[in-house]
Amino acid sequence: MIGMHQLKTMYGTSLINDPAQIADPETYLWFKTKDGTVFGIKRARLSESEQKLLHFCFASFSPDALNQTKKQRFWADLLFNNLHPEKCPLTRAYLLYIQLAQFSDRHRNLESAFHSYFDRIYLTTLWKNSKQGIILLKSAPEEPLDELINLISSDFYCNLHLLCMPVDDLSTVHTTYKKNFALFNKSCLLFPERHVVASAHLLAVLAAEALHEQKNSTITQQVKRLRDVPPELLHSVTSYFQHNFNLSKAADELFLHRNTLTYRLDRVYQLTGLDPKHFEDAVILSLLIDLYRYDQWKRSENPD
Amino acid sequence: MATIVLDHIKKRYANSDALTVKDFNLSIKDKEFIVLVGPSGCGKSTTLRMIAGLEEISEGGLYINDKKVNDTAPKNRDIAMVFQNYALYPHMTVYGNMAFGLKIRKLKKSDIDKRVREAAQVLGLEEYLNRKPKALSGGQRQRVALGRAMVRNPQVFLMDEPLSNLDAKLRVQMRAEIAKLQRRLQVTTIYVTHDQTEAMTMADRIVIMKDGEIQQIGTPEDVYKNPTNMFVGGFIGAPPMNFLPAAISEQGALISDHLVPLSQDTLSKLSDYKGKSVIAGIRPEDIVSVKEAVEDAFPATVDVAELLGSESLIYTRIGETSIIIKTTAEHVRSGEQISLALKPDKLRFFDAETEKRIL
Ligand SMILES: Nc1ncnc2c1ncn2[C@@H]1O[C@H](COP(=O)(O)OP(=O)(O)OP(=O)(O)O)[C@@H](O)[C@H]1O
Ligand SMILES: [Mg+2]
Repeated sequence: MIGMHQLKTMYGTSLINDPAQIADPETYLWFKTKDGTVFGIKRARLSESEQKLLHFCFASFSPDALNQTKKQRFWADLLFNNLHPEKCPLTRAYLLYIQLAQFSDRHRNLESAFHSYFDRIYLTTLWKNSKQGIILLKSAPEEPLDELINLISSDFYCNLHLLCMPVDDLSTVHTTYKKNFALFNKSCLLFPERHVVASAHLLAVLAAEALHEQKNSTITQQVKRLRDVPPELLHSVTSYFQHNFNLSKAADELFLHRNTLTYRLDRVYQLTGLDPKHFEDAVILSLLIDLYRYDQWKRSENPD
Repeated sequence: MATIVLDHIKKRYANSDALTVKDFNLSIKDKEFIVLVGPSGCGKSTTLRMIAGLEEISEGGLYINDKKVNDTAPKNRDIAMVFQNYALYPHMTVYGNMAFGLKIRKLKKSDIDKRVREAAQVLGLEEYLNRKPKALSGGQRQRVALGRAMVRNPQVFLMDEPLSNLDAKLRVQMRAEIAKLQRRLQVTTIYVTHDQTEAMTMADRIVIMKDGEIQQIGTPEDVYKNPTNMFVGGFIGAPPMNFLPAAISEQGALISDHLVPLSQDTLSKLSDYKGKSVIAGIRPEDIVSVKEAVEDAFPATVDVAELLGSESLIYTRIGETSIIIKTTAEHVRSGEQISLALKPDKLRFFDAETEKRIL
C-alpha cells in the first residue's frame, strides 16, 4: 500500500494537506486515507492512469466541508471534479445555480428548505463555497421560483439569486459550470433586482461582454446614445415592458397620467429611434438597456 | 414592544451612483402601524429591506428599542417579513409551513405546536392545518403566510405589498383583517404599498415617498386635509385634489376671473404672495354644485357624470382646468349647465414654482 511519505516524495510541493491553504482547491484532486488524512495533488501533475490508480487506493474527498453527505460528494465529484462514476444514475437534470448574500444560518437548514420546496424532484444541493452552489433537480420545477426567493428571504433573512439551467448531458457539465458561475455572478451584479435568471437571459451579459471589446461598432454607438436619455424615461420604459405593454397598469404604478407615460415613450422613440410600443423595436430596446447597464457598470469600475 | 428609529438613513446600490433612498428620518412608536406609500421605484422596498437587514444601510443609523442594529445579523433583529407572493412550501401542510421557521431555529416540538395552534386559531385556520397550500383559497394562503410570520412572536412585522396579488374584493377584505390582527397582536408594523387607499385605510401614520425622499409623514386625516405639497395632494385621495391656477388679491383669490373671498386671517398669511400667481388646491367633495345659475358662482358644463351609489362624480372644467367633483346632490347628465362654488375654508394654496403648500 502506498503511504503518505511515498506520495510526498513523488509529488513534492504538488501535494498539500489543507484545502484552505490555497485559493483554488478545484485545481487539485482530493483524497482521504483510511486514517482520515486529507491530501490533494495538483491535477496538472497527474496522468489519467495515475488518477485511476489513486482513486483505486483512496477514497475521494470534497475539500468543501459543506458537501457532507454521500450524495453531495457523489455529485460534487461529477460536477466539480469531473470524476465519472462507472454508472451515473442520471443523464439529464435541471440545475439551479444559487448565489447567496447576507446568509448567516446553517447551510443544512437551507438545504432542508430547498428539499421541502421541490420535494420529489429534489436531488441534492452542492456547495462550491459558502455563497455559491447548485441545486440539483431531476426535472424542471413546476412551482414558480420567485416564491422560493421570498420564502428563503423570510425564513433566512438573506438575498438569493437563481440561475435556471436545464442540462441534457450531465457528463459534460463540469466543462461549463465555471463559466456559468462567472456569467451568473455578473448578472447578479448588473441586474440585482432580477432574482431568477433563465439561462437564455444570460444573452444580455454575453452580448455585453462581446461588444465591450469592439469599441466603435454601430451597436456600441447605440448603447452610448442611451447616456443622453434621462433615467426617469428609462425607468418608465422598463416599467412599461415589465407590465407587458399595459399602458394603464404601468402608468398607475408609476403614478403618471396615461398621457404622460405615452409622451415619455414617444420621447424615448425620438431619442433612440426605437419605438417602445412597437414589438420588434421593444425587443432591441430592452436588450440595449441591458447593454447600457453593463456600459454604466464598466464605467463605474474604471472611470476614465 | 418595539420602537424603531431611522436616523438619516441612505442607500446607494453598488451598481448606481445616485442615492436610491435619500436621508430618511422616521421615528416609529411602539405598536404603531406605519404605511410607506409612493409610486413604483420610489424606494419603499429598499427602505423596508434595510430595516430587515436584507440590504446594507449605506449611511445613517437604524435603532430598534434604542439599540443600534446596523451591524446586527438580520436573524437577530427579531423581525418577521411577509411578501407580495404569499410564499409557501407547496408540498408541506399548513401546519408544516407555519412550523418550518421554528424548526430550523431548534425550538422544542411542544413549543412549536403551541405557537402554531395559537396562530391558527387567531387566523381561523384550525380546520386547515393538514391541508396543502394548493387546497386553499387565495385569502387562506395569505393568512398562512401571515401565520408563518406570527409564530415567531417578532417585535416587528415588515410587509411588502402583501395583498397586491389578490383580486380586488379579497384585497379589501384582507386589508381589514390585517389591520385588525395588528391591533390585536400589538406588534409594531411597517407596511409597504403603492395603493393610497390601502395606506389610508390601514395606517396609524402614513409616510409618503417620492424619488427616494419622504414627502410627508402624518395621520391619514392629516395628509389628506393638509398635504405638504402638490404631489401629496394629487397622490393621496381618489379622485385626487383639484388644482387651479389662482392669483392673490386684496380681497381674496382670483380663480378663472372669479373672486373667491377669503378671511382676513387667511389673506394676511398669504400677504407675501399678493399680486402673484399661486396654485389653489381643493378636494372633490369641497366643491358645491347646483343645477341652477347662481350669482358669483362658477358656471360650468358637465363633461361626464358617474353615479356611484349614493355619491356621484362630475367631470367638468373651471376655465381651462379640468376638475372632478364628488357630490351627494341630485344626479346630473353630461352636457348640463351647473354652478360651482369652492368652500373657502377648504382651499389650500401652493407655491406655483416649488409646489410646496403655503397655506
Ligand atoms: N438590488 C438592487 N440593486 C440595484 N438597484 C436596485 C435594487 N433593488 C431596487 N433597485 C432600484 O432602486 C430603486 C427603488 O426600488 P424599490 O424596489 O425600493 O422601489 P419600490 O418603491 O419598492 O417600487 P415598487 O412599487 O415598484 O416595488 C429602483 O429604481 C430600482 O430599480
Ligand atoms: Mg417594492
